[in-house]
Amino acid sequence: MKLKDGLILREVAGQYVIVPTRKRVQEVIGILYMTKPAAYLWGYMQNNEFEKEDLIQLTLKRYADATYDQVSKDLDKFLKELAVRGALEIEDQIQGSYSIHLPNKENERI
Amino acid sequence: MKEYEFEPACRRMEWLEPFYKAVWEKAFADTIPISGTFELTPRCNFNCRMCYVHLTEKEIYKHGTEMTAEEWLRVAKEANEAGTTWLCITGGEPLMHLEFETIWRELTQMGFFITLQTNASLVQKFEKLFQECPPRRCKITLYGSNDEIYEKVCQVQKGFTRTDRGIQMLKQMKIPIELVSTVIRQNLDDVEKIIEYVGKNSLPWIPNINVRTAGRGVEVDMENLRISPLDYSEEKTCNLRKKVSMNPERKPCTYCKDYRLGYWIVWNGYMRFCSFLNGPDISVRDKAFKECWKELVEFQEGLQWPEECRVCELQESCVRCAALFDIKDGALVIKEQFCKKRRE
Repeated sequence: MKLKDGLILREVAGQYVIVPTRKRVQEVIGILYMTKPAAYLWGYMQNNEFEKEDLIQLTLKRYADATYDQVSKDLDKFLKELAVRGALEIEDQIQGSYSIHLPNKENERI
Repeated sequence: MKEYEFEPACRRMEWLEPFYKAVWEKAFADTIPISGTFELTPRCNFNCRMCYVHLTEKEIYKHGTEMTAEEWLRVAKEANEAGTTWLCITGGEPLMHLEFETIWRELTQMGFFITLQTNASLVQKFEKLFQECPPRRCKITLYGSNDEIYEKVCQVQKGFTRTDRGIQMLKQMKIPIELVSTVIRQNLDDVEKIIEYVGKNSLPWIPNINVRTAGRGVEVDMENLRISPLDYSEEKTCNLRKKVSMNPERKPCTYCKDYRLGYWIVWNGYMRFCSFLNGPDISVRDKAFKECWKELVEFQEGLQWPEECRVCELQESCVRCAALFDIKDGALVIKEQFCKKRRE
């Protein structure tokens, strides 16, 4: 997985929020804010391609009292949120909407 | 949650997401300037009768010089470092700043949530720029539903046609738009048609009837613009006078939404807490942003109602804010006729 470029993590009044820049303004939906542990991971994710397992290991290293299962569950939610809001670079992803018109013959054949 | 002698505005905004609430609460407690407005220029291609900012090229020099792109960007960088995250770009017509493109390109990659406030008539000229660097949100002034009304209100030809073209372009680009209309005598009869336009375009709309002069070099002919006040019965007037709306113990700025967390920087380089005021003159050209912010907060803390208000028998019922006064020598001063009109 990879994060899109042009997304700035900002700490504002004690909260962490992602501010999209330039064209990303239209690609990231709503306000993407996160907890401190997630913000810590963001630093790594910005500079590396990553798998969920990488993030689990990083979190476990930093938070000694965290359990594998809980971190895994939290990361599922976090990564889903990033994908839904358009912060992840997903291969073959098409931005926006599209439609295909096939001739009637083709339509019937399908 | 910390207790204040009055309730911060964010506590009254039930609709806010927990994120916003937490940010606003902390910004208020620690005086972090999270929200700013840059009034780039007093120039405008329209000449709206109720505008208190617009100056012609010839008038500008009497009131100062516009900040250059370099100056705005230096301030923006410092503001960003100080915590500013929500930024509104306005004017005059901000697209009329001679270096608008440079300013916009840089601002949109600094990490602000930017709202562009415009009359939309020039956005087509900047289509390529907005495609590369789209605003997060546009607040567009709409003063009528056709060119004739625009001629009466904004004193320009084809004003509606140009505005509508801009709105349609931004809509096509899927940029969120909010329309704002000031209703004055000259467009009062057109309000229904404005509502039709708003509905047809499925856009949010905020109407208002506030016409004010700000003592910033523009004379607004309020007498001939303001919609006549409602003709209240004697009983209703009497009840209004008895209604307690203001706490005389509270300082004027504590009624502002942006108190301790927001600011304006006006076109000639002064940081203020409200665009409707002719002061204070805290120069962002001469001082670092953080220093200006500190000075502004101290100024707001020290600001009191004028003596006349403190002894007035209507001090609890007379709904007012600091922007209804002038600022002279660092103090609020009552504008001519203000009390007389209020009593009437």
